[in-house]
Amino acid sequence: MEQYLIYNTLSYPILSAVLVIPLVGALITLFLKGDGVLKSWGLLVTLVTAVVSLPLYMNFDPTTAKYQFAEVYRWFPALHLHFSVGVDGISVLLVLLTTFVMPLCILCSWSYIKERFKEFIFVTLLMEAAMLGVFICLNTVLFYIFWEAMLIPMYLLIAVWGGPRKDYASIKFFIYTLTGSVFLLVAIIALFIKTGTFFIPELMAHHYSYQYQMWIFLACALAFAIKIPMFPLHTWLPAAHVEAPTAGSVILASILLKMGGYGFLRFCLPMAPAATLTCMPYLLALSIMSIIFGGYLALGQSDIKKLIAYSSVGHMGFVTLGIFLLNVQGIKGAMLQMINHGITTGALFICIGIIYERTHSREIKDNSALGMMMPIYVTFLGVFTLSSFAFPGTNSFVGELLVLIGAFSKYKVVGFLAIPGAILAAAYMLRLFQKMVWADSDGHAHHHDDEHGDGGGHHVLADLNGREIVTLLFLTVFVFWIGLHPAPLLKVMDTSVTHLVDQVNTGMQHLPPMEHHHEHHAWLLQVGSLIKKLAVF
Amino acid sequence: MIAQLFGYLRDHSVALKWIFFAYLAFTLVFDFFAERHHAHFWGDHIIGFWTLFGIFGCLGMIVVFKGLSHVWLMKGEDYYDE
Amino acid sequence: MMSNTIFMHPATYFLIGAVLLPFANRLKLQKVLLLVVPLLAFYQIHHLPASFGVCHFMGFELTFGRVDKLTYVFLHVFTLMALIGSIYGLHVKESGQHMAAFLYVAGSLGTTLAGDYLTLFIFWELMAFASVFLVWYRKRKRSIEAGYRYLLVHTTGGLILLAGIFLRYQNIHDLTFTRIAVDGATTADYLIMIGFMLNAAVPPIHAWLPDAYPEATVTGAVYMCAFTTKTAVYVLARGFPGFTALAILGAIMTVYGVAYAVIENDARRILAYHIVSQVGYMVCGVGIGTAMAVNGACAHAYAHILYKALLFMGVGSVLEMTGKSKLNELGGLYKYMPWSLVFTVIGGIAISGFPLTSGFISKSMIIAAAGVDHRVFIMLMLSLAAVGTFLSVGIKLPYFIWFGNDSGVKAKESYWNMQLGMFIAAFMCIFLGIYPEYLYKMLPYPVTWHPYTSYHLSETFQLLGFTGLGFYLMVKKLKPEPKSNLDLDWFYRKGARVFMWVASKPIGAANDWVGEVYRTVGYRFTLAVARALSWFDWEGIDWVLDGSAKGVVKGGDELRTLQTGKIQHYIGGAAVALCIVLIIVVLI
Repeated sequence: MEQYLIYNTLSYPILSAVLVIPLVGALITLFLKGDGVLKSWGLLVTLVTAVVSLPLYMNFDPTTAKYQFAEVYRWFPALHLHFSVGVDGISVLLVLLTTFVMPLCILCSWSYIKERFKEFIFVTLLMEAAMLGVFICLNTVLFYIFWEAMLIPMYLLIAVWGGPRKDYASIKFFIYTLTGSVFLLVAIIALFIKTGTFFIPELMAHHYSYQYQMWIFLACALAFAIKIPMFPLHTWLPAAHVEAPTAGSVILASILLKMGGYGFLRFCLPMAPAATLTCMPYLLALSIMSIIFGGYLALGQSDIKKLIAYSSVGHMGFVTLGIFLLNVQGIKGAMLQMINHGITTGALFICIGIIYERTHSREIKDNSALGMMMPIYVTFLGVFTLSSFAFPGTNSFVGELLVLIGAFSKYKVVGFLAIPGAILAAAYMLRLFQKMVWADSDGHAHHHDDEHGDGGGHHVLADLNGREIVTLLFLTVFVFWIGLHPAPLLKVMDTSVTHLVDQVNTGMQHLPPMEHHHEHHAWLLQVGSLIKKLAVF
Repeated sequence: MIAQLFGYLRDHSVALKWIFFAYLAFTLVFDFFAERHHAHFWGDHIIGFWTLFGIFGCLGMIVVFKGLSHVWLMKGEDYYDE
Repeated sequence: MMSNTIFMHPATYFLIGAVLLPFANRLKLQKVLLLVVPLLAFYQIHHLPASFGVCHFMGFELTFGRVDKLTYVFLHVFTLMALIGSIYGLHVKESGQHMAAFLYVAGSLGTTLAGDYLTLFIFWELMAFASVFLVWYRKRKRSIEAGYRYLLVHTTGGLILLAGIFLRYQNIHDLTFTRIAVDGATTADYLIMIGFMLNAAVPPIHAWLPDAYPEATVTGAVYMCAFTTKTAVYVLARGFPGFTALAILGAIMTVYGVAYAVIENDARRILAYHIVSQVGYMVCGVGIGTAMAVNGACAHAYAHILYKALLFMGVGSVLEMTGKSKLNELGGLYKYMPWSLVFTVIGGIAISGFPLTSGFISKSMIIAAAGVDHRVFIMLMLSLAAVGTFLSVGIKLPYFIWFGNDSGVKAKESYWNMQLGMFIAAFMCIFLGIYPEYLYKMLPYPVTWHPYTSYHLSETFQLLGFTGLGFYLMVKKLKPEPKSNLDLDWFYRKGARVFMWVASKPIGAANDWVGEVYRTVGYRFTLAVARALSWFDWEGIDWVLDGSAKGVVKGGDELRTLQTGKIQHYIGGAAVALCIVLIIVVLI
């Protein structure tokens, strides 16, 4: 076990702290009263978690692919089951994304949530712990526990504080994701039966037969593909986003979706490399379809949140595209895009939440001509619009550039097919921006000012207040910082990604001799190689 | 002041016309005396080539393009707005 | 060192200026800023080293500053034009318009100075996105729609360019922006060329220009006519001199643009099509590739910026003061706006190539280069376009606006700053015509051609005179009508409608249908299975096991009742369960 880990040498158990602080904070919340107190407490806990997680980045050693800051505790020795946590280049960035987005969620819910604030903070903090658990745990049982554990709080976030169709959306989300996780559980149990261990690095080091790999891959891939979401399993996302409160949408978009990508990188690629290779053309095709389908659907939307939801499908399509290119630039691009998407789409949902609080409508036509009344808001919206379609200088440009470089160096057709997706992204985001900022065609401004719930008319909307500015400014800084100086982030993930690609490449050479299982998958391989031949012209 | 100048010229457009025709004659005469060192193609040697080119080119373009426009391309300004 | 080089780059001044503009506006210093920034930039370009601003980004080497004679001549005219445009737009109070203009100029300067493709792409995109605001600021419905189309077309072109850049990097692992050899051109290079050609408005990807430029603001159009297309000419001249395809396309462009200019009705649309025509001269010159031809292309670019801007300024003044730009609605304005008339006419005769104007010393260089290279057909096409130029822009445009039938439109003469801008441009047009060496010194190759030969004069006199005769004879046929003409954008404008319809109707419906499948089949099915299982659970297991099974079922029942409403209990239960698990985990 030790060969994979670098134990924590800081003065405190940082990963456990990052996990426990939100948990303890959640428990304490149950005893607090008063909205003001609760809000401040929530903010305090999330900020403390964020600060506590900073040393993960500062003291990270980018030269090794081993799991750092590792902690191992005895749990069920009889089952060889230990409570083990650690981060590598892939997970550390996602951990930081989580800890830094959560305070923003609390901030943006400051005036949005109107009832049951205690439960809200409780649920949110629980979610934070669960999500962090997913990213830092090193054995499959813990992974599954945390994966399931964040389902219930998310369900509650939508079902209690959501919009008019919240029951439908929350159940849909729950059932979709649960279905996938059942398959994940089966895979975990199967892996344990085969290898006798739950420890992830050891599972990665094993070499499984081709058939076995295929089953593991399909089972895990189903769970993760639902989470990401990949076309055609994406239909739960628009419903969930539309009905969720702002904080719920931000958590969903910024962090939950990344868990799917993380799952692919942690489970499918290293543990089932041959299966990954066989399925690669199909997954690339599905990624392209996600990009284009998501973009196309976004173009036709009149509900702003639905539009951004479909754009998420498109952006995550780029992520899966990068992952399944199975080369270093592709995966690095995908990882960077995960971070970028978390920042940008989270920011966009915060923006929409802000305007919804003022106009109580998510329709584009009720939220237009904002440019004159809310110039600061519109400036921020403009920045995040630019980032959303990967304008040079913004964070998404670097991520998409890397993915496209990876695509062009392997399969040019894939690169060419992804480009219309980028054009579509520009189309729908600019259409949204133009309609929201400038007055309608005939010069009339349509905005539904319902701040006082009296079905108002052409009133003046208030521009951003200090809290909202701080929230958005923080994200803006990252948009440009990553866009102009991505090197530090890329360095952090470099060794781990290279190691992962090596694992995939060497794993494919270590297959036990293939007997007659080959015929079962022969047709699969044939179609796959045909697609590959078309792709490399 | 300038406006008055133009008004004056407009009122005397007949005189202007004759000056114009005189100018046209002048150009043909001038061409006789122009030096043709670097003749690039056969037309350069012909006196008055550019005269014909100018008048027929102009008339030709008007007829052809206006014709195309009337027959095919011309549409109402709101054509795309329906 | 780094900060030093940042301030060396003229685009920096425009970028900083753009940021400072809203504050300057508040402090009533906007006009000062508008004048100072281009002046600083104009000064700065005379002091640039051959190479500066090299830095590394993600493993690529970026060169922000690469200067040679080719760069210099374009920088010279761009900064001069920025100054003229600023002066012309001084009266505009909305700082947003000026910000867009400054960012646009910064993009153009950055592209011109770029030494590698990545830097070029970044500034290329900046140009596209900044200029769309110059269209949107007109705020009419048509302008907003036109701006949107403009943006999409340019984004597509930009992505084609990016694809080409990627592939090129793939092939040779070098991003340096240099000349591409004609025989060594690969698919990647052609993609890059197409990306450049789109910005240069080469047919068939030219329709965005006459679509968007007439819809821009009065001052915005003045900027737009100068920068996008000429920056594209620069990059073509840098990367693709000698490609015969460009020579042929350029020649076709010249006549194509002029054809539409002859038949159009809106003044700014005439000028927009005419840009296509004049840029055709430059593209053709680049395509011919000889030193004289490239010189001609640069000289013409320089002169064209000035006189096209002058024409746009003149027509823009009319639009500003009367609110009209269609020829059929105008006429008889000579009484009210004589100075605008004078300046526009100067622009018109300059563009037609009258002796003693800048057109005479620049456009003809390209025609002569074609002749020297024995490309007779191209030479004749270019000359034909010159006939059309004089016809449409030199005569028809001023005639129907300022003379013609009196439309009854009354207006005041344009503002002093607009007239000053026009004056400067007109002055330069004449100045260059009288003293061409000023321009010739800046051209990349030594100039051996002399414009003022008797043959050239004779040729010009004849062409212009007899074109005028043609107009005189056909003036009734040329009467403007309130119509517009179809162009190749028909395909994507009609196509876009279909595209959007498909996006909202069929695909959206299909997506909803899949969602419905979930609801009808998936959801109900799952619930049915759940009910069956719970029956099995209740009856079956309860019958087989006892005690604990009953407890499980009862617990499930309890959970069901909890689920129906008592959220607090539910949360509490879940929390307690989670805490218990974690306590076990941590302690054991």
